[in-house]
Amino acid sequence: MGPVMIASDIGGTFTDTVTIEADGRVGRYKAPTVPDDPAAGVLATLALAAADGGETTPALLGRAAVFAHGTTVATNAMLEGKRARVGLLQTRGFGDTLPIMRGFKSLGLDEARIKDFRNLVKQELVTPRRLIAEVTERVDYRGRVVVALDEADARAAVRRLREAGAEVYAVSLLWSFKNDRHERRLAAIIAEEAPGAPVTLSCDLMPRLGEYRRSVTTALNASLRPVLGRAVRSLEGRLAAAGLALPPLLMQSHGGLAPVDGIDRVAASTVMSGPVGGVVACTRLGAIAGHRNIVATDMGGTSFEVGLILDGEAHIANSTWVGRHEIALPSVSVRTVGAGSGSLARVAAGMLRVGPESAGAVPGPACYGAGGSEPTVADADLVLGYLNPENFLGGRMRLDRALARRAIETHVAAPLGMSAEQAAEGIKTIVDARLADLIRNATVEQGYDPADFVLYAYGGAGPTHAFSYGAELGIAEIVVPATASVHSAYGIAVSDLMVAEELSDPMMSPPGTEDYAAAIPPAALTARLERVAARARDKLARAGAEPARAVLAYAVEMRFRFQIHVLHVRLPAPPFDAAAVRALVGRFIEAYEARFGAGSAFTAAGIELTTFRVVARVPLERPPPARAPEAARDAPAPGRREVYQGGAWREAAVLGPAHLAPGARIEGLAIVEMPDTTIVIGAGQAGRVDPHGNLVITRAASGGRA
Amino acid sequence: MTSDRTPALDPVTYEVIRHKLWSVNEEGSATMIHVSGSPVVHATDYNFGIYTAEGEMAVIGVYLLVPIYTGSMAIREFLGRFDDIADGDVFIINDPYLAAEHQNDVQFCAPFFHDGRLVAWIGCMAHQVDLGGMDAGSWCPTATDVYQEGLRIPPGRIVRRGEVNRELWDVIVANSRMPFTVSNDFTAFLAGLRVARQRLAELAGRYGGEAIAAVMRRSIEGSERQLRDLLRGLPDGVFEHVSYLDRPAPEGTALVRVHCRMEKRGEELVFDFDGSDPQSAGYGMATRAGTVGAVATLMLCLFGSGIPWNHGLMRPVRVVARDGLCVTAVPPIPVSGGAAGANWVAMSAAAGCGAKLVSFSPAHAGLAFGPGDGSWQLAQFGGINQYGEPFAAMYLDSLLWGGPAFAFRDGVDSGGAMVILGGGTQDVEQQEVGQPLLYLWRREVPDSGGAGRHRGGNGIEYAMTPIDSADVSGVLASHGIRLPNRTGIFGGYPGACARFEMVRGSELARLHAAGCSPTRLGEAGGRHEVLAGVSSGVPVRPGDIVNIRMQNGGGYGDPLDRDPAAVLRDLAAGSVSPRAARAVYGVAVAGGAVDAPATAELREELRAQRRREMRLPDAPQAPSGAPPPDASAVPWGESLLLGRGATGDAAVHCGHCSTPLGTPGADWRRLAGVRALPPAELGGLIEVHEALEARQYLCPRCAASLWVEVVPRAGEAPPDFAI
Repeated sequence: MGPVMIASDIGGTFTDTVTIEADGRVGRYKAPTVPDDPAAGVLATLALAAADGGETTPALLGRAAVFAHGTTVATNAMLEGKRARVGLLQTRGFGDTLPIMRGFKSLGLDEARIKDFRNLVKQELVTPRRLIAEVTERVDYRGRVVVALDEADARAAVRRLREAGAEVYAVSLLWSFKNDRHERRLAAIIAEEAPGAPVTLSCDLMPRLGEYRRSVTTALNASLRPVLGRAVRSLEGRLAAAGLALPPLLMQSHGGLAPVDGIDRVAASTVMSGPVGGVVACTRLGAIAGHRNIVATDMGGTSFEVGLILDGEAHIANSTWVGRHEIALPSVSVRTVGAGSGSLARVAAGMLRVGPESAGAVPGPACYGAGGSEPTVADADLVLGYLNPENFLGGRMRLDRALARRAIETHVAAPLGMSAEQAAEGIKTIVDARLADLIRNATVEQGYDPADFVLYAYGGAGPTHAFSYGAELGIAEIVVPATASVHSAYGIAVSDLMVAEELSDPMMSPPGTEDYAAAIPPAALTARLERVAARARDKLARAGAEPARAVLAYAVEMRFRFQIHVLHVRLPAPPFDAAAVRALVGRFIEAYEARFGAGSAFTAAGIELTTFRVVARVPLERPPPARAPEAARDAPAPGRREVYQGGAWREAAVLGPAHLAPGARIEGLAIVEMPDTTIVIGAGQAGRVDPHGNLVITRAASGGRA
Repeated sequence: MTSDRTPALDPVTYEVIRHKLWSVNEEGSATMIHVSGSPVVHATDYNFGIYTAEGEMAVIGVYLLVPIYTGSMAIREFLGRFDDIADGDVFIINDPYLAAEHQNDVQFCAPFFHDGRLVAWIGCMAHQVDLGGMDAGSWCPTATDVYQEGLRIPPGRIVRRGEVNRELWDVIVANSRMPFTVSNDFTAFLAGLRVARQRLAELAGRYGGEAIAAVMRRSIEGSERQLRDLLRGLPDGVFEHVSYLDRPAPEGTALVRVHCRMEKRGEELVFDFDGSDPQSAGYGMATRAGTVGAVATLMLCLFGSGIPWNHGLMRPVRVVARDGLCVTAVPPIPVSGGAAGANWVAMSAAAGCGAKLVSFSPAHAGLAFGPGDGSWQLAQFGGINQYGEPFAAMYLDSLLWGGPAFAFRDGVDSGGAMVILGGGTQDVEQQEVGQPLLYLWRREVPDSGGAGRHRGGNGIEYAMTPIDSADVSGVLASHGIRLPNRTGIFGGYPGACARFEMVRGSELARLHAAGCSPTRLGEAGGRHEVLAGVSSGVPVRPGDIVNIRMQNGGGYGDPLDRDPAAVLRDLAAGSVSPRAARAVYGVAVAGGAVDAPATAELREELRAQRRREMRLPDAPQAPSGAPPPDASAVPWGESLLLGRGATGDAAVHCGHCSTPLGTPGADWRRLAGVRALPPAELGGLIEVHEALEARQYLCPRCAASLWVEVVPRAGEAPPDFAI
């Protein structure tokens, strides 16, 4: 057998593994995650994969051309407080930057919690104040040294932090992205005073304007280094022992892969390692199917996640959130709300609410029979006939319809004077409308109409609900990928080696500028982007890639002066001439007006280029996707069951994986029971299986809206 | 649209529409902020809301809270004045005497029609950086009449049936020092309104206009019901609180009295400010709109923790105040500072009343907090920036005061604002790249929150010096300089006063070149001065330093009851000084741990000192060993127990040691020991005007701190409650 690409997504509950063979065939495997031993879940899936091909795990791993993975190690360390104790060095006078938090007590909270004044408090600091020290030094907004670094003072500060218990160090000084000399000197002093302790400098990790986010991100990164380092070394060792001959790659929040060697230096860039895989997978599938604008939706038990693919590329924001902490590193933007199959339905004062509280994994929905008595979205799906009690998690768990019905009757139907079916449909209507509202907000915020997108739905519950929230948004095409149940792992398997580098170094034009090329010298713009590009190439080379093969994408964060929000504007490769600068400004104004309306451009204020970004990727060679297998000749005739929809019981066709042959067409109302999810095609909709086994749902009058 | 025509609306459709209205509001406000070019707007000095056809607040976001209610007042103003309101109109107003806090707060309101019927209003407002007047920024603290202040815009149409009223637009913009920014903000308003209107039209097309109106009506009724239920469970009575607006006068500092008398009867609340001083020319006068908006803000924060925010939280509330008071100024009294002047003092006084009321219910005592936001320390700088361009900037760092303490937690440090729950300020780097001022520090001030069993939040101070510009001047104005408005409750101490300081002609340049970063004003050489509360056009020359320190939250409960472990934590974090740990909290620390025996001894000494200094009440002392109150006694916070004494008569007991203090008369304070809080315990951050004193009421027996207030040296404050 030939080379194989292997990718694992080590999630909180399950570890998913995908294999892609040289002929494009995709294997999908799932095993429970062992929380204290992430390698165990991976090895369990590899054993399944090996058995599938009639080989041994060492044989499978021996064929691996790539092994890539996503991990929740960094995220879990944050949520569980298992970070190292970090000593943070800051500019004298500004040691309270973290406690002050720019005065925001609302960071990371939703509106309902912000309105709860009496309980509205700031989050826990990423490091306690006693582990933050000030050093005498100051650089100004132009990078000039106002006060030289007092080395004796700095040395004493490091010693104090060490004595106070610091295990790792972070340095974040004002304006270090304009002049990094003091930070670098501090690194040398720390190396002398605390030999061997890992140090993170803000000028390396995140050379961006804004000392609050920079300091938080730098401190978090420093504190995550040991735990991530241990985890990847352990996984690497276990896999090597099992026969893997090459170093594993790890998925980063920005949607690209990096070798595990040295990854701990940017530990904070791995917090979205798992979730972004799904969005990347949609990017890849979209490229094959010709979908340029995609809303990627992942609905699980407790949350609903939305990612956007704009013009063929995953939208990358300049930060992401873990709990209430913002990590200001480029990250595929994924919005999350507390709405999933476990969301609780409650009646208060005659009003029906669904979520954000969730029944969680334990006790879970009432139908799990694990002691949950309150009704959830999954209970509603079961009562309405969408779910088959015998086919949940591939039949690994039996659902109890009577318990689901009782929960809905007791807590929703009786108080509201409805039938159980009406109440269940009400729960579903409310949750689907909320999901549609969230998707709408996510697209509108980027200046787009959701109806112009293709919707991809995956995760345990996404394919069950997408027919409804997609229709609500007027979306024409809904895709349930063949890899829906292991979508993140598939995304990791099809990712590229990638680095994303940023640098703040503002350039601005005065108010009333007519010729932007005069105010924004092309040579200076060229120099800035080339500087960032050089850093990106250098990092790729250190990751073992050939910089010559790298594809570089350039972008600038721009805004009108006196504004805060920025837009990312793409640029061709440097060098730039006057015409290129004028074209850049023109594109910015165009993008701005497209988003905020004609005439909204604030040109009189002048413009500002704040941050420069280069994303460099080296595509990994991978085979084109194989054609999905033809329909099994002995595929059973579709079954039938009653589904409650639109206030009445209706008959639905019930199909299985064997019916999803390329070209197959399925008229709604239909249910396709897959091993790990259930796909619903609504009344008036039709499904069509594409050559790769993905199910595409459209409005029945072909080409119409879903 | 009256409620007798409510169509049948099933709970599912209700919930779907309710969520969609939220979503519409969020889309509208997100669009508005993104388009706005103003840093002030980005710090959430704006709001966006959906109102009923009658102008009641239906959907409220988490922006600057005071103007949300003024939006409602504005819509009623339009409804009352115009009988030709049409689809496609957008109304404008900023007249503070009618419906705004001050002239900077320009509001746009758009009626939403469906099938020819008025279904709702969408309103938005944002603080405009400049609308003319004698000071850059239009916040004119030294104005003596309204004509020296920014442009006043009476109710009118800025868009008529979809056509922008360009003449009016140009008149407004022509009066601004920052015409581009104002014009851009107006564009932002229209963009936000357009998006919201479009989305409402889609909703109405699908569910009908009447369904939308019914959802708004029903959610308001739901909140009203919940508030009325809560109020019914609280005792009827009258609750009072007084505070003062201090401002420079020809001779020293004048005090303007703001008196809140809150009467709770059944399910309703009346806030009566008639006992306040009359209006007078000069800094800090507020209009009725600003005062009612301040009361509405308090209602949202005091009762809105468990009740959805909408007009239902104001329906059971009435605000009484005759025209012409410091809280209801009428023309030509200047009111540009009225966004955060007497109305904020009124908000503090109203919070005091609210705390005194809810603390009678053990179930709701956790809602109580002391006087909320004390003062807005205006720090507005202008001149020529480092790029040679004119600039004007209001520093929102002044928002970073400490929040009030609650019965169950400390106040939030550096960012406890009630008026802006979801906002804050910019990074130092963001400020420095825009304005020619170099920060020397921005830090939390230890001991600046009021001491208490739970302490008030500490606030920040920030110091700056000009860089790359020789042309910088400042407008620095605030009250709360000569007295703390933010007294504690139930024995907690007041928070630090506001302060503006300068060092003129410092030796910073020499010190910096020598590798020194001064960390105190006293280390920088030059001439140190403390500024009066209100100064305009203050030159800030190269080498000068301006330092601005916040007024902060008061404490809750007796500081001697604070958990010593919490004091130790505060010491480690630098939030409390070693001096205050001993002198105020009575906590002794040895080797990084609490020394428990020494702490007990120290606290006993401090109690003994209180006993020595306290004047005992005239009422006879209860004999020792007098019976404790019976089980039915009602606690008032943690200070008192109101129950029956040995003879079955009504009796007031100390909430700490249960000792009977006497029979309740007009004022419980006559039953307590009294002393003036000595400067050592107040710390160095609180000033008390010569006509006032910080007075502490104590249990004559156990010497627990029962209440601390700032009252006239001569004379009494009105009683806290009469139930």
